Amino acid sequence: MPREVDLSGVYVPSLLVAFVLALPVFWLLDGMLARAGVYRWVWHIDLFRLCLFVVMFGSLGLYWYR
Amino acid sequence: MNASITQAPLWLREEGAAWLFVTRTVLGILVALGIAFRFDLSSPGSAAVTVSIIALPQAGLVLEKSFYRLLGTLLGAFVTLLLLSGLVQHRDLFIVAVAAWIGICTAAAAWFRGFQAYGWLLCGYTTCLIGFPAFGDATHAFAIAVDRVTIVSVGILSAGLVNAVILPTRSADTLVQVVRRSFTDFVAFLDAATAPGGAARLANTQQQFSRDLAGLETLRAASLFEDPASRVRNSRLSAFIGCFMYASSRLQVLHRQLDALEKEGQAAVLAALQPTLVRFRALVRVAAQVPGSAREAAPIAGQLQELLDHWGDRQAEWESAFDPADARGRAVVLSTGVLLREAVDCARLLASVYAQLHSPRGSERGVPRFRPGVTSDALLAVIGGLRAAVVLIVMCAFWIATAWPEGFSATLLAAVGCALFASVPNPTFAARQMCGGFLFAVPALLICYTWVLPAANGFGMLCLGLSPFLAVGAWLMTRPGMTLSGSGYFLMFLTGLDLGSPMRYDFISMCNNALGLLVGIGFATLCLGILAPADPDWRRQRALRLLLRSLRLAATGSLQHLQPRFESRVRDLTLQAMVQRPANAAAEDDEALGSIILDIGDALIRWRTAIAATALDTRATTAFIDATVVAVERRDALSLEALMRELEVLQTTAVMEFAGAADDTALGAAVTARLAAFSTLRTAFRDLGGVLHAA
Repeated sequence: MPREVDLSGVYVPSLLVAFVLALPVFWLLDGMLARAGVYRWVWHIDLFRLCLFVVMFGSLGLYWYR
Repeated sequence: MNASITQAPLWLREEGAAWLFVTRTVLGILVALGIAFRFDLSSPGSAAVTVSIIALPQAGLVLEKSFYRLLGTLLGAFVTLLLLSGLVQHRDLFIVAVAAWIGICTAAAAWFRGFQAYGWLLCGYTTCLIGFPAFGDATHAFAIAVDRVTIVSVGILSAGLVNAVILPTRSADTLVQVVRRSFTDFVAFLDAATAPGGAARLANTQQQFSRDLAGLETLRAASLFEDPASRVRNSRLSAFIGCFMYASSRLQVLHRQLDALEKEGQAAVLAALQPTLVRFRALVRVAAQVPGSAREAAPIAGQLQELLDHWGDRQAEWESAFDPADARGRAVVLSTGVLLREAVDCARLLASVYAQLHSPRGSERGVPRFRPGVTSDALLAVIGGLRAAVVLIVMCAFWIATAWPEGFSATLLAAVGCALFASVPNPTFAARQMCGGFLFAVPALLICYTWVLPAANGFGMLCLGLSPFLAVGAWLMTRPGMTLSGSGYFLMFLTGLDLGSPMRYDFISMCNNALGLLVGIGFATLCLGILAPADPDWRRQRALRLLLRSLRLAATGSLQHLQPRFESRVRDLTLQAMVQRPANAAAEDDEALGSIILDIGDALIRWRTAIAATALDTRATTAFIDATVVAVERRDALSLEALMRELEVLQTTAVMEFAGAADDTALGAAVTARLAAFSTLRTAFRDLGGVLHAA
């Protein structure tokens, strides 16, 4: 995979693309978990959500850079 | 752990919260600096400034403000690139275009409220921030824009991270407390409002409610950004806020009517209504105590519904207290009953919405959607926008004429100052406060620049050296009434320091830069005082005029959801007028005027609805309503008296109609609704006359 993506002449690091792609996936999952009431069983909700996002972003980035 | 915190003394809780805020802010700034240095970004200082600007006591607020900051920066960068691409060869035209854009954004900032206003503000001055450096260096314009967006994002990310994850103070928790307290207050209000007397105290509570509601709206919007659970609950929460507003107004209308009945000596009517009022109170106070949580409030709605189901029996009960030949007495008791029924219905709605709040999911069936509207003053927005544009052009002209190297900082700060203060209640005071912060930062800047920074070798030592200076600014922000001083301190300190890697030490240029910043903010303060000064008293009069004019909405607006729309506008304008009021003047007049306008509008809407339900001739009604609107707007005591006399005639006619419609229940109901409107109107007119006399 290339390390930079060409967006109409602007070179964007592909990690940024991964970050942007990870956001909607995270929002979807986040909303589903909230609706299911999962967060009531979590001690530190924001830490949990941050970690969730890091996991998604990280796996996407690793997939790209492997 | 929670219990031990709530049991701690008040000062400890407040100081604890303040120091948590200081810790988070300092930590956020250091994290942002670390990231910016690590990735070798162009101006790490700007990332730190971003963190300090979005530093707010609750995580939700921080996230909301950062969201709008990011949005504003992106839009601003985009517009700048557009302007640059067209006007890069025409310096003066470019300046005029930037000034026009900043004027538009400042006007928008004055039009919107809260963090949306902030987003517009940022959208405006980002054009300055990117456009002027890029103007001399057009080939790098895109890179400069990207730099700016990157640095803002870094600041936002680190602030969000620190505020949400490390020792967070969550808006959602505060929200739960405020909602609970509001409901408790409501129950207390209901207790007082269902008996005559104590009008002044109730009016105070009403204004407290208006403020609480504005606060609740802010918290609701903030918690949306911090918590997915709040997003699920959001629509129920806004229904709660709307119902709360609506129900407390209905109670207020009822109470003023009961009060008027007592003053008129209608003891028989009050005595007839008394059992129902007592029952109403008792049902809301479950088992003689105020319900604490939403769960405990759940049965209230059902019991109130039961009361409503047997409303016909209640009406028969009231009527039986009167001689069947006494049409007037029966008409009065039934028309007061109309108001009481509305109050009960609204209380039921509020209780049912409140009871649904605790569950993660809830049906929203039967819950009306109210949108608390805000009313902005177009004239003020336009003045603010024009002022900002003029200031920018003057500053740029000065910069060009003198070829002052620090003209950029001065222009930027002047633009920021003008836009920032255009929308606050008392701009001159706020600007002076901010200037105080700037001046206070000068010695800190000098000390830090000459002794601390040169001694710091490495990022760790830099953090250690900066922390005390940053802590001072963050601590200033926690002091009530000095928040803007804290922001000014940070802006001056962090911009003046001009952190970079490698650090360039140039004492002279640092001083020049600081001087530029001071001149800019000073010029903005001066212009706020000189160019179309935003005198608080003038603004208050304008808000009051808009308040009187809002009756037009009640008189002519489409009847669909008119009442809540009208109410939220009146409440907002009353609050605006009260905020602007001079410190030594009494607030009661504005409050009284607000509630009178609320009553008049309420009566007009009720009247119009009653007329619309029956196919009656509406011309006479429309003429009377129009005359009312005009008389109130002109504060014309004489025509008000004439209207009062006309109203009495109308009332007598309606009572006769009521006596004639003994068997026709539908017609009877329409007439009693109209009668309720008449009596509310009469009370309101009398009170308005009193207020006009006093003024």
